[in-house]
Amino acid sequence: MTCAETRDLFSALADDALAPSERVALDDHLAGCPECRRELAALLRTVKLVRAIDPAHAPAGFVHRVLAAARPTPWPTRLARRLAPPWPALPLGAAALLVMGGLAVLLFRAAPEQQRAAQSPTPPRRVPRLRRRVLRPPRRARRRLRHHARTNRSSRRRRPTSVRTHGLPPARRRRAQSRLGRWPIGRRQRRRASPRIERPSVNLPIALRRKTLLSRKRRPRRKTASSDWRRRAQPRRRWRKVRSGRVRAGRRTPAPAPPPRRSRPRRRCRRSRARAR
Amino acid sequence: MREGLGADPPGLLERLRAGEPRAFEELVIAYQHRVFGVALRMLGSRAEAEEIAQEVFVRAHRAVRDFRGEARLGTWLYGIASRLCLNRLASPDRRVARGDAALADIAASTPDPAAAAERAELDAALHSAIAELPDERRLVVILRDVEGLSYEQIAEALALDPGTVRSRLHRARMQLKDKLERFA
Repeated sequence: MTCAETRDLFSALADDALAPSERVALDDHLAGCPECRRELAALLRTVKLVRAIDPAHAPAGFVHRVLAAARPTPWPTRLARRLAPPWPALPLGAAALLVMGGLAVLLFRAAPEQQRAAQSPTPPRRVPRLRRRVLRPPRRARRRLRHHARTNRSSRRRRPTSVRTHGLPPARRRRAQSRLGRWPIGRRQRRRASPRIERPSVNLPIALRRKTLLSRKRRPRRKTASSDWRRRAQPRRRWRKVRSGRVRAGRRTPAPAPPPRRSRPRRRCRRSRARAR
Repeated sequence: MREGLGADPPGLLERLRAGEPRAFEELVIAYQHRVFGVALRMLGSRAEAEEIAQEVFVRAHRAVRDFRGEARLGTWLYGIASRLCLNRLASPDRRVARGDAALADIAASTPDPAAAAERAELDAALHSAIAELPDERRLVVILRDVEGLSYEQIAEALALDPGTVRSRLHRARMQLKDKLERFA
């Protein structure tokens, strides 16, 4: 048994609570260990000191006070204690504010003229649902308006600021120039841009619409050199030649070689001119 | 050290359960000093100790019908007192200087002035050493060395294992020995 194990048994030894085997092992160790004997003696003296403390006595009248406290309280008192809620500790200002608020609510409820004064003189009138429905445009008109807004928006966005018209055939030039001003002007473009506005027969019945469409005269498309030019994308010089009849349309001839450029005669001084003469 | 707990008076528990006022008075008279002593050594203030001891008996009076009688009445009362003392010590709003009243109570019991002075010095050191112990160890030392309970009775009152009581007591005594070497 080590010294630490031995000292763990000192307290039980002071209380005579050791098992016989523990007591034998402790005695064997103490016989050969003066340090542990010294420790045991100190501990036993400490225990003796603590046990020498005089037991305390209850003060006089303690029994009567206990009996009075244990006496059953009458049932109204018990009921009042149970029903009393645990009021939170409110500061004085908050409590006063609560009391004032409660009084104000009570006075407001008691006086009907104050309630009338608090109400607004003319309550806001609600717009009847029928009227709103009347003000709203019909579905077709709404669709048309949306389409118109979309078209205008796209035309504004796509309208060019400058167009190169030099060297274009007349129809193309006209169209290109028109993009700077009023646009769209072409029949197809016009139809694409705002067909509902341009065609009044949309809102008509089917028979009338057919009649309107039949009565519209379509100008037959003219086959001109410009259309041929459009198909072949020929340059401007060739189109001029075709128009003037110098070149047959549809057949391409090699361009004549340009004449050799004459160089400008060199300016000579007066003496050399005289010499040349 | 006080004498150990003896057996309960015969028939006292049955009369208590029957709600007999005289039986409760007998219980208070029999255990008032023990309960008050534990509270005084643990809390160090006579007023606080009286308040706690009174609360112990009031609770016992209310709960005696539920007491099954497996332990002695004294052990049961010691258990209630120990729990109330530990709760009071753990409460954060407790601001009582320990030791003064308990020290006066110990010093007043010695008649000779010289011996009283010597005893007062020893008791002051002893009490401060006990007061510096942790609450659980102090409680075990008080129940064993002041109130004279056995290991089994302490274990029963505190709902602990007897081995735990023994180890706590050993540590508390070793701590006291280190602090009281000058007097020992």
